[in-house]
Order: sequence, then structure tokens, then C-alpha cells
Amino acid sequence: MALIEITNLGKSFGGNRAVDGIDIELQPGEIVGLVGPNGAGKSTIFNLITGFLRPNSGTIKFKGDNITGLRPDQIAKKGIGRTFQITLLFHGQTVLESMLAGHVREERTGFWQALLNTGAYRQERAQAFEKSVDTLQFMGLTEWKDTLVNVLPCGLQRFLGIAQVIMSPVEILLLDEPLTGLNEEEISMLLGKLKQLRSQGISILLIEHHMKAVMSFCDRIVVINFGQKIAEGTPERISTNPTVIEAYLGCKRGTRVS
Amino acid sequence: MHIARINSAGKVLLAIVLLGLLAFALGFLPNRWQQICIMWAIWSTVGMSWLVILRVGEFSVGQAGFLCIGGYSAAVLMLKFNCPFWLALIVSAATCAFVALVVGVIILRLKGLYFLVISLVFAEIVRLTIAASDYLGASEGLFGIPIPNNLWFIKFSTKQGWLYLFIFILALAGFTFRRMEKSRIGRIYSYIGASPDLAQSFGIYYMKYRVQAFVISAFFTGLVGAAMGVYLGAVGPEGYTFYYSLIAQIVAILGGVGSIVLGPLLGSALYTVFDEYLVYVPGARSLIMGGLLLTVIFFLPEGLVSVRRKFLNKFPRGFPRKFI
Ligand SMILES: Nc1ncnc2c1ncn2[C@@H]1O[C@H](COP(=O)(O)OP(=O)(O)OP(=O)(O)O)[C@@H](O)[C@H]1O
Ligand SMILES: [Mg+2]
Repeated sequence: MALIEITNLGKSFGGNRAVDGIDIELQPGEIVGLVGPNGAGKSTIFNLITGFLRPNSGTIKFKGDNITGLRPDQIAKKGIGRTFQITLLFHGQTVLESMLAGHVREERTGFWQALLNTGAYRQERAQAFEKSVDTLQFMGLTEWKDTLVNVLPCGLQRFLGIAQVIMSPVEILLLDEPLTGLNEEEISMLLGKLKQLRSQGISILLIEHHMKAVMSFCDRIVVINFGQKIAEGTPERISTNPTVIEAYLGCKRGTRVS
Repeated sequence: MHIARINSAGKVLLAIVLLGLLAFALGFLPNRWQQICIMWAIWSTVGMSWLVILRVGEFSVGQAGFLCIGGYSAAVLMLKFNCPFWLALIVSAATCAFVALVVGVIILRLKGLYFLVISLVFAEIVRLTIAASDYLGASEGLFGIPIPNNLWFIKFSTKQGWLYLFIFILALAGFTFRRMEKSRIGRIYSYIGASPDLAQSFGIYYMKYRVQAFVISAFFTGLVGAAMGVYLGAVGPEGYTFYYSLIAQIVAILGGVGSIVLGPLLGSALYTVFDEYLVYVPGARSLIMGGLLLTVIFFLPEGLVSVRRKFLNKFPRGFPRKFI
């Protein structure tokens, strides 16, 4: 069964059909790239999948369950993690403190237990701390754990974003341009981490303008233009597809495809 | 230091004993200072309650509404139903919490300026509805609320008794808010205050926590409001104007919004002392109060609590600056 199955997804903002009848399927363990010129509707697709926007038409299924119209938090609890195109941060919190946010959906103790500091609550807190230490280690952020997130170097903020998402089990990661703001060294490091995550069984849907990375990293690529899917296939086939080349050359910033 | 090794139950016990001693000692102050302490406890509690809402990212101008509901419910319960004082307090606070639940689900969908305005509107609607109700004494209000019977050793015929009650309420609120701040609850509130979208993407349903914060805030505000109404012996719509909401913010901002307990305690101390002694300069009262606010904000943008931090920073490295 497909992990994610999107059929005929549509979303308009006023008269602007940002997403116009898109079908995407993602198999377990797959890494799929979602590319297209600026304003093509890629981020909107992410917002539709994760419940931040409601579609005008179409359905989204996760492991066979219809998740269309659920709230973002309900979708996150199903194991669909995401990052945002603009870096969102919990201003004023340290790296460690904001890591704990990713673990909240795993925690079962309620308001009174937290208030009265019961044994069960303390145990969960200890688990959360342990998990954040491990995850920070994995992402190479250990030495930054007491730094305020807003003063963290820009590239590391992107690392932190992903680290927070994987604090609780996820089956799929939706990454919206995770490589923007990273230097070449950081890019290869992050791609390395993502490959490790994939080997742990996490599927990835990746929006990215960095074509070299997309071509080398993805199993399959879906190309979007003006809210419609114009091509789909392996990286080799996409890079020679005339429709894709035209869509990119017809747009100012498309020159990155060569 | 041995104190650092006492476990948390021990710390709570120690704090209770110290607080009891403090309250006991305050009970021997001259009457006027007891009055100041009562106002200090009242506005500290209300300031803390206001800060809880700020934590989830909302600026409320509606605390007067809950003081009003609390005061009126206590007055009605005691005057018309002969309800014992302690029960009236609990029921009034619960009423406020319930109102906050119903109202919060609706108005907490609004953010930023929209919430600010709607909270103000809420408080005014409460006040004007009450002023229009004959059962609630219309514009005259309800007066002649009886002096409550003694509660254990607390005699409400004396100022001392009221002082103990208000300090008790303050302690209850202070402990609750401090525990919230130090636990996951407070952390979740800060996440939501900083970025609701990011919090949601981690599976945190932000509406639940916003409403929760609003309800807790209303509970304590209502509790203080109820006690205050009975203490003054009368409630009237003229009392619960916008100015009451403003004081909550003044004490919290004066003290420093970074610290949910200490901030309002300090801010309220400064406010109530000034407020009491400014009666000698009736003409310049507001002017001096405004000047005070500006001075503090200008020199200590993070409030009075930052004096302590600046002082602490003079200590050598390794001194426990942040107690997690
Ligand atoms: N909340 C919104 N309200 C109105 N219009 C929107 C909204 N979000 C996106 N749009 C519009 O939808 C279209 C698609 O936007 P989207 O952000 O999905 O593009 P994108 O493919 O992610 O582009 P980029 O590569 O620049 O991030 C754009 O025309 C954009 O202006
Ligand atoms: Mg985008």
C-alpha cells in the first residue's frame, strides 16, 4: 500500500489555482523530489498534506486512511513530520528546550501530573531529555544545546528544524527547501543525515531548488508548474524531459537546470 | 549548601512554613501597611494570571471582566443564597473558569490586536450587562455583603484575617504558576506563544492550551475578585472598569514579564506602595504613576526582576544563574 496517496488535489486562493488536480503517490522507503519554478504550488501541496490548508478538492490518504481535512496536530500525530520553507523557531528557548517540543506528542501524562510533578511525569521528562541528547548528537548539534535558538547560525537552524521533527517517531518527512542557507559542506552533511534516516525506514518528500542535490538524492522526481504535474520519473528521465526544460527556461530562475 | 539537596516536597514544605511565618509577621504591621499588603497580594495574583495569557501569545485587556464576575457571584451567593464564604469563593472562581472556557473557545481564535480588542469588549459587555440587570442591583451594585464567619483561626472582622486570606490565595496562585512554568505545561505555552504553526507541526493542538491558560487565568482572577468583593463589602459596575485590567498589565510589566511569579510580586509591591502614598498629591497622581512606569521601562526594559539578574551577573562563573 502506498504510504501517501494524493488524488486530484486542488486549492485556489481567490482566482489563483495554486494547486490544480495533482496526483502524487509515495511508497514506503522512497525519496521523492518535488520540484518546479517559484510559485508553482509546491509549498501549498505541503500545507495541504499537513492540514495547514484545506483543499478545495481531492483526497489525501496516509497508509490507506483518509486524512483530508484533519487538523495539523492530528496529522503530525500520525507520523507525518514536516519543516517549513521559512525557518520557524521558538524564540527565547534554548536548543535543548525547543527539542523537547518534538517529543510532546509522545507524552501521555496530563496537566495534573505535570503540575504535581508525579513519578510518571518525571520519568517521561527524563525520557524526553535522553531522546533530545541522542537526537542532538545524531544531528551534530550537541555543543549548541544551551544556545538560544534565535542566535544559532542560520544553517544550524535548518538542522535543528529537522532534529525537532525526529524527536518522535515519524514515517515520512516533508522537507521544504531544507538546503537553502547551507554551504556545500553543510549540504553534504545534511544529505548524509537524511540518507541515514531513510535507512531507518523514513520516507522523504523533498522540495528543493538545488538541482544537483535533487538529482543525486531522489529516487523519483515530480515536476510541478502552475499547480499542475507536468512530469514524473527517475532523475535521468526528468533531466532530459523537454517539457520540464521548457518550463524551467520559460521562468527567470529556472536556469539552474542545465 | 544543604538547601540545594532538599527534595521538591521538602522545598514546598519549607516554602509553606516560611510563607506562613511571613504572613504571621505581616499581621503585626500597622493597619495602613496591612492594607497595602492586601492590595499587593491582590494585584500580584491578578498580574500573574494576566501573564499566563501572555505566555500563550495573547495580550488580554479583559481581566476586569473576571474580577467582576468573581465579585458579583460571591456577592449574590452570600447575599441571596446565604452561602458560606469559603463555598462562595470556590463557586465564584469555578464560575469564572467556566465562563472563560465558553468565551475562550470563541475569542481565542483571534490573534494579536484582534484578541486585545475582543478581550476589552468582553470585559465591557460583562460590566454593562450587570449594570443593566435589576437582580444584580443595576448601576447601584450590591452592597451590605455580610462579614464572613471565622474560618478556623482567621477572623474576617479584622484586617489581619483578610491579609491572611489574600496571602493564602497569592501563595496558591504563585505555587501553581511556578509549577506550570517549570514543567512541560509552561514550556508548551511558550512554544505556542513563540510560533503556533511550528508547535502544531509537532502535534501540539494550540487551541487546547490557549483555552487552558485562559481558564486557569480566569480561575485565579475570579478567586481574587470574589474575595475582594466580600472584603470591600460591596460590588458595583463602576468599580470594574478598564482601569482594573490595566493594573494587571502595569504590575506585570513593571516587575518584568520574563518571570511569572517574581515579576508581578515586585511590580505589585512598587505599584501598591506608590498608589497608597500618592493620595497626598491628588493632582499629580496619574502623572507620577506614569512617570514611574516610564522610568522603569526606560532603565529596566525587562522589569524589576532584571535588577536581580544584573546583580547576579557580578558573581563568578558557575554561580547558579538559571534554576531549571
Ligand atoms: N496563503 C496564501 N494565500 C494566497 N495565495 C497563496 C497563499 N499561499 C500561496 N499562495 C499562492 O499560491 C501560489 C503557489 O505558492 P507556493 O508557495 O505553493 O509556491 P512554491 O512552489 O512553494 O514556490 P517557491 O519555490 O517560491 O517556494 C503562489 O502564486 C502564491 O502566491
Ligand atoms: Mg515554497
